Amino acid sequence: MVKFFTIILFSISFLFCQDLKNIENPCKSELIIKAKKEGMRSIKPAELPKYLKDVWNCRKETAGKKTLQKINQRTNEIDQNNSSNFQGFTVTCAYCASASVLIFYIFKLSGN
Amino acid sequence: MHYRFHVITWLILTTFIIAQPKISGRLGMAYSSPDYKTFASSPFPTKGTFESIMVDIAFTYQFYANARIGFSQWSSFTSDKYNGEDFARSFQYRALIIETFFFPMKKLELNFTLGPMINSGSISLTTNQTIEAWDNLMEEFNNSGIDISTSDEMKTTFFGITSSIGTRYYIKPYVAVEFKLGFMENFYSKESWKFQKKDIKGPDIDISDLPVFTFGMIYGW
Repeated sequence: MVKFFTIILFSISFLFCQDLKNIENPCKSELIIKAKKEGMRSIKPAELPKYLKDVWNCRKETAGKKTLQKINQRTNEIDQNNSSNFQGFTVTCAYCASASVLIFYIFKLSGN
Repeated sequence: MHYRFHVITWLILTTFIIAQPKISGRLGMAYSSPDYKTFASSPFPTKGTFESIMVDIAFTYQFYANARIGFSQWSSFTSDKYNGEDFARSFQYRALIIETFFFPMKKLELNFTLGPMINSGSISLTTNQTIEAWDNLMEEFNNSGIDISTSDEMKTTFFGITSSIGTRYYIKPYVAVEFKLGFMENFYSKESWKFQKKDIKGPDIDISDLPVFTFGMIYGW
């Protein structure tokens, strides 16, 4: 068990050890700027540990809270823009699900 | 060997997490109204309303702008005493789901789910027995008052389909609450239970068409 935790700790510390640029203000790191522009889902999985570390440091800064709010707002906007309307086959699936649920409850409530 | 298993499991899990950027998990409660005909009357135990509450776990991956695929499971479990022995009954409703969605407004999502199901049920009983030979052996080692426990269970598997419509509100871009209204259509037969590899008859339960209400928390990236 001790070996197992040692391996996990080593792996996590390995992920977090790569501090590529020593930025004075973590709220102005490349990844935070990218998230502010394109939303947090633009962060690639491999960049996630670095991004989370930047977010953690950024929240301590004076403008940190605002920056994180902006990222959340931008992410919500992008999510809505990307999925505001059905595309392609997805509408068929939605119609099938809606119709089946509607028919089921009509039959259920009518006692059949 | 044991550590190797842990390391491989950990690697697989972390690879899964970082390989899928739009993966999400749901943990919630669901309410349905199955009619456990044989269970509801004595001698089988009944838990009233709690018998209809299920734990819901789901994992989905967004593979298209408006669509996710995933796995969802509702677990219904009851345990009690039957003739003074430990009794447990569980039903697992498992679905491979396709979920399409759209955002009518910011932070609010409407979703529509369809999926085939492969479900399972089990009834287990653990009895404490006294067998003379074991008692004698135990007494050889100066042990006394030990009951031998024998546990066995009867099982069944049945298919079904599920469909639901739901609404999801994003508290944060990675945390949301969700309510779903839907149903399950199950093809359960009391004739298709198995006990010790033999076909037996099981309890008479009406779970053929169940309305399902689900409330849960979503966490995802």
